[in-house]
Order: sequence, then structure tokens, then C-alpha cells
Amino acid sequence: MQERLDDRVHQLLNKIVAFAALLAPDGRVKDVSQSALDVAGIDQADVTGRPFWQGYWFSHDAELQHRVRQAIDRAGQGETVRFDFIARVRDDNRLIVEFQLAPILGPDGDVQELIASGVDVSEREANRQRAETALREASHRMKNLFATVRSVANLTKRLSPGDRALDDFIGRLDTLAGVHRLFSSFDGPERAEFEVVARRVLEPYADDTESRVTVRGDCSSIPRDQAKLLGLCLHEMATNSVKHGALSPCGAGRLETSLVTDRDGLTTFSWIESFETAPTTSEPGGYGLNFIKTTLAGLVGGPVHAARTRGGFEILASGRADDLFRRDGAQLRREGTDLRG
Amino acid sequence: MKVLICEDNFVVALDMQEQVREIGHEPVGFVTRSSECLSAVERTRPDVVLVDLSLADGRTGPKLLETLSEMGVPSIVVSGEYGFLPDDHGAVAVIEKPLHVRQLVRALSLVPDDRGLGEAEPETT
Repeated sequence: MQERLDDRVHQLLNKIVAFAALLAPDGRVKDVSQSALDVAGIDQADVTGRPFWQGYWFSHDAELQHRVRQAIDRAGQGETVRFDFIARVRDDNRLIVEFQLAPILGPDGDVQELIASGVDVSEREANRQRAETALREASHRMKNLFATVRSVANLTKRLSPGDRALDDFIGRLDTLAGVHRLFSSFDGPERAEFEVVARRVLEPYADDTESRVTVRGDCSSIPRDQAKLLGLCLHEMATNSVKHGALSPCGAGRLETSLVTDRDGLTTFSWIESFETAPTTSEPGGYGLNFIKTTLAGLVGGPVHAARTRGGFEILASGRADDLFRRDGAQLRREGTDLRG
Repeated sequence: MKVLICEDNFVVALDMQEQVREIGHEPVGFVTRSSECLSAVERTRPDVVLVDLSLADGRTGPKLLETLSEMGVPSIVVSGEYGFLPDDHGAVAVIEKPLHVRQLVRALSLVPDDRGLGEAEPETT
């Protein structure tokens, strides 16, 4: 009768999803599910009759062994104990296990046996950690974005004429938002090619963009934060061009812009406007020019040349572009270079 | 006071330069990397360096603060997140971004006198 009962319990342990073990009240192992044995790469004989806390699953951590022993003592007093722990499994790998130890009571309420069960929650924990990392990253990006927007607002307030300041700011904000949308999906790209960024920024400035604007780039892709800065530069150039140059709605000018890196690693940015009617001025002033020169010089890593030409206006910059193509903050953090929380 | 800015976001750096100028100090330029910062310190001899913790060459700000401290150059942290900054970071003040001009005035007032405190007449905007 007892043998049949033991066999039935053994089958029960083996048929449930969780790892399971049946223990005597003092913690000696009476039976262990096949799944718990398999995950550790051990046999029933390795554990039967021995203290549960000395099992392979806990052998990597003396503190954990002590905790399991304490749990057995508490369960022996009739208490159900739950906690998560890191288990040692086959080939010295690790699993995160959600563990429970519960007493099985006899008719008189005395503890006759203990049932230990555990569920592998490694994937759930990994997902939770991924979600936490994503939340931290999102928070960091928002702070960065707020800082950038505030600085754009400050600079606009100082350097744009009063009657134009708000429109200028909205235009810059729209550009930031437009480039941000390229990267905004949760699992979206972390980088974008110049052509994609430039077309996104220039789109609002010419109804006939296709016929008047040529954008050329190679396969080099630009990280999110740098793409936004480059987008703001392109925005300043485009707004100036709409007022005075090739993108003027009443003109028939043409714009060609490119960002290419040659075999020697030299990156060249060019913005070349050509138009027939001589503009009043084609060089952006104030915020625009200062911003373009400083930012572009920093991104491309070389001096910026901006000048009227016989047939139009051009901005050129060449350099090693270390800052333009460098990995952004998120990548550095993932790689451990940047530990900012 | 001569102020060098070490910040990898060009827009923020330009804004900081303007803020420094507005409160009566002299921005002597900005750099985006720790390595550039040290050579800029040699070149421009600033009275104080504003340092972001994450720069174009990674999370190099904390080490830069240490080096500046060893060189006897006062620094002020201006960062979006400084949760993991050690207690002995070496900076005279820590400001959380976005940078407010009043915080900057307060922080600059903490720079030791012999580095030029009092040369400028800070005013809030």
C-alpha cells in the first residue's frame, strides 16, 4: 500500500511543471522530480536520504545553503516559506528559481513531510531587467531632450529677433521632433543614414523636393543624438535657403547636399545652393551661422567654409568626423563604457 | 573668471557659453572629450572647468574631475545624472541639468578666491 502511494507521489512530482522534491520534516530528501534532477545533471541516488540543502542546486553558495536550511526549520514548524534564489544547474550554469517550501500536515496537524517546489523564472527576470534598463534609458533620453530643447529655446531667445523668435523656436522644435521620429519606436534603429535624416528635415521646405533637392550619402549611419544635431544644422541652412536662396518658393533654385566618407576616412559635408536670381544675402546670421559653424565643425571634425559663390551659396566641411559617427550614450552604456544610471 | 566647458552636446555647450558670458565671465571655449579638455586646460588656463560626466569618449567625466583636481584646476559638474558620482569626486559643486543660470552663479561663487573669484560681477538673468 505504502509502495503504491510512494509511486503515485513520484508520478505526481514528475507530472507537474515545477521542479519538485518531497522531504522528511528534518530536510532529508525522500524523492525528487525528474525535471529537477535533469536540470542539475544528477541522479536520484545522489540526493535521496541526504539533507536537501546539500543538494547540487545550492552547492555554489554557502549562504543560500544556510537559508534553505532555515526554511526547512520554519516549514518543519508548519510555515510555508517562499523566496527566489539563483540555482546551480548542469555544467555549473545558473537559473533564477522562484522557490516554495510548504509543510504537509497529518490528521493531527503535525508536519509529516515537506514539499519543495521551484519554477524557472530566469526569462521573466531577464525581461524585467530589460524593461528596467529600457525605462532608465528612456528617462535618460528625455532628460537629454529636455536639456537640448531648453538650450535651443535659450539660444533662440537671445539671438533671434523678437518678432521672429517664437516661429524660429517652433521650427527648431519641429526639426528635433521630426528627426526623433526616425528613432522613436521602442525597437527602432539606433542610427540613420544621412540621406534619411536630410530628407526628413528638408521635406517641409520644398513642395517639389524631388526635382529641386538632391541628397547624397554613403552607407555610413549616424547615431540618434548626432543625427538630431545634424538635423538642426540642416534646418538652419534650409530656413535660410527658403528666405534667401535655392529653396525660395518663388525661385527655381536647386540644392545639393551630401555627406560622404572617402577611403582614407575623411568625411566631407557639402551644402551647395544654385539659383539664378541674386539673393539679398544667403549667409545665415546670428544663431544660425554660429550654430552651423560650431556644430558642423564639431561633428565633422574640421573647419566650416560658408560663402556666396557666383551661382549661389555653399557650406563645406571636412574632417575625421569622430564625433559624428561615434557610438551614442545608449550604446556606450550597453557596452559598459558609460556606467551612468 | 575664465570658464572652459567640457560638454558633448553642442547645443547645450553653446547655451552654456552664452550663460557664462551673460553673468560676466569669460567662456574660453568648449570641448567634447576628456582628452581634449586636458590639452585645452593647458592652452587656455581656465579658472574653472564645467564638466559633463558622459562625454564623446564615454563616461570619462569622473576620471577627468580627478585629474583636474590633481592639477589644481577647480571643476563644476553639470550633468543630467550624477547618481553614481563618488563622494570624493573633486568638483567644487554639482549642478543637475538643465542648467539654470542661478545655479551656475552659485556654483561659480564656490570656486576658490585665488582662482579669480571676484574678478567678475555675476548677475542673474
